[in-house]
Amino acid sequence: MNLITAFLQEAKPVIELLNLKKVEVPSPFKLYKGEIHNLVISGPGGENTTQAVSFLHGYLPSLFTPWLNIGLAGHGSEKIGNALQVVKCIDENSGRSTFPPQIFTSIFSKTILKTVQHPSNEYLPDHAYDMEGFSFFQTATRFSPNELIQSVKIISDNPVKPFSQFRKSETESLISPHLPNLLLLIEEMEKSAKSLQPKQEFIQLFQNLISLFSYSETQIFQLKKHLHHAFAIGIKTDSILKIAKESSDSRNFLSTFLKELDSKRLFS
Amino acid sequence: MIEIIYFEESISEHPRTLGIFERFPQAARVPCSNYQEVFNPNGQNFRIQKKKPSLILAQKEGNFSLPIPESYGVGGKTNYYFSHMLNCLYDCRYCFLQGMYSSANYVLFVNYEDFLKDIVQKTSESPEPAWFFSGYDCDSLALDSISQFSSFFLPHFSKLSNSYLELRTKSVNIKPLLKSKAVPNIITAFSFTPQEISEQIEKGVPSVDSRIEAMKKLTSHGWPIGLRIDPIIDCSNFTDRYSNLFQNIFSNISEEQIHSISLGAFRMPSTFFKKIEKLYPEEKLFAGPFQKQGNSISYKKELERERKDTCINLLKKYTSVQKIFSCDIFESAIN
Repeated sequence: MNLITAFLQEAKPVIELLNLKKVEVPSPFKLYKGEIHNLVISGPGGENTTQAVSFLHGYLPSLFTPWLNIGLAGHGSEKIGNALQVVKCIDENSGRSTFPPQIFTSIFSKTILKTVQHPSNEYLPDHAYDMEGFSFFQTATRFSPNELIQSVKIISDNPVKPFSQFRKSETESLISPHLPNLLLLIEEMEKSAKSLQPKQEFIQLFQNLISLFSYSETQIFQLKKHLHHAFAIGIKTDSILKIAKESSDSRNFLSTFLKELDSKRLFS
Repeated sequence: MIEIIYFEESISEHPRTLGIFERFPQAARVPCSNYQEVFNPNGQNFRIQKKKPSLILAQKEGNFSLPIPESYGVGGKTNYYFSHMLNCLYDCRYCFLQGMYSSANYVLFVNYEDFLKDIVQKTSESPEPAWFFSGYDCDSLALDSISQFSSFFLPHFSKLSNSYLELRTKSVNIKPLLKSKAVPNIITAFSFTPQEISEQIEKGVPSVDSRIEAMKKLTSHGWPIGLRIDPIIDCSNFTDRYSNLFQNIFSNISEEQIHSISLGAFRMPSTFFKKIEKLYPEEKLFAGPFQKQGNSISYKKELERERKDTCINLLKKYTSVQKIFSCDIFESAIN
């Protein structure tokens, strides 16, 4: 699970919640790591966000990693301290929009987020404002399914108390009350990501079989397909290993494996 | 439960949009310029989106009804399908929609009047009765409580005597039909696989028995019905399972009220199949004895013919062959 905030003050309550430790890396971005969570602090603005997301993906590449952006935002009609999940993000600069799919049972109310170039005291009703959101979505969607990329914004300023009156020292106290719900969202995102990942048993068997012979790229593709079918049909790992051990090479193994599959393909 | 409703800004004041907003007051409303902004982006995962689809309200622009594939009809010479919705409440593993769309969200086109105008025009241009099939890209009745589809189209089709409407469904939501007087040119066609198969690969679908019960109620009110044995799934105890299914249906439903029975073995464009297989690599169905035939994935020709012929022979015990139609990629064994 990858988390991203713009500022250290936004990250602090999350770092404590998830018991993350600072990792020294040769990068302009501060990185915090736990057993399964990683948090990067991007700095303000779209460009920093793009680079920070790319850095974290490059540092820990994975296909189905959930990404969560947590940060402060202004809002045209919400009370200060409210937490909202982004359902649409508009880039003020280009006019483009993105719609992060909403599949989680999160209790956060939804908001439209407008990503702007500079802090502003102008607010539209029903709109949140930040400087990072659109870049976050645009970049993270290159690395993970759109559903696993979410953003929660805690309101720090509004027309009643505009950005010019906001004090950075208030950040932690704004975010902390939402940690229990953020944790629920994080857990649900992780669960969904896990459902997309291959089973450990599959990975182990694949690695085991790969180590036995030398395979061409096409054969690796065939092996994966055969293994998926074998797991679907319910052929035991031991039986597959037995076929492999009795085979002289990858070609012979894949051919015998296929015969075994063909004899059991009937849907029950 | 719908929690998010996306809507095209141009239809924000459409009476059907407002009606849906009213029925789901708790749902967050999210405006978009065009439904494709939400429905079509790359990088979506149909499988996890299916756990909690949102609703997208849109306006259909053109192509309201289109010709159906050849050999998919049930006796008519002029055949069209139309889709007031995209995607389905149910989660059938063999469904081509999983491969055709990148999103599992429901799209509802609210401009029913434009669909109707097109249907009326095509009907008037057709010298023979024209058929209009609903339920290719969605289930015709499953989300009727949201779409109010039947309450709009039924009265209009009851006046279009030179046309037929097929409502294809696996739903038992037949209340809207039971409220109206039976219309002879509206056929409610129920799809079936044997119960043991349905339990494994048709998530959320009402049981075979409850669908038969729904058919029974409809026929007792005079509504004609159709049977759609599509897709036929090759399986162990094939003959017994399909024989039990047909026996169960025909012991409850009068053959006279069955308008037509269509049969089709599992088949799918290979690009869709590849996409779905990737979404569900551990799915038992996809490990089946399939092969590529042109641009389609299907059972081997001989196996498909054998299974289809078995079904036809079983059905002949209950009905005449004139009521049976084949909609496969291979030549029909009936003709």
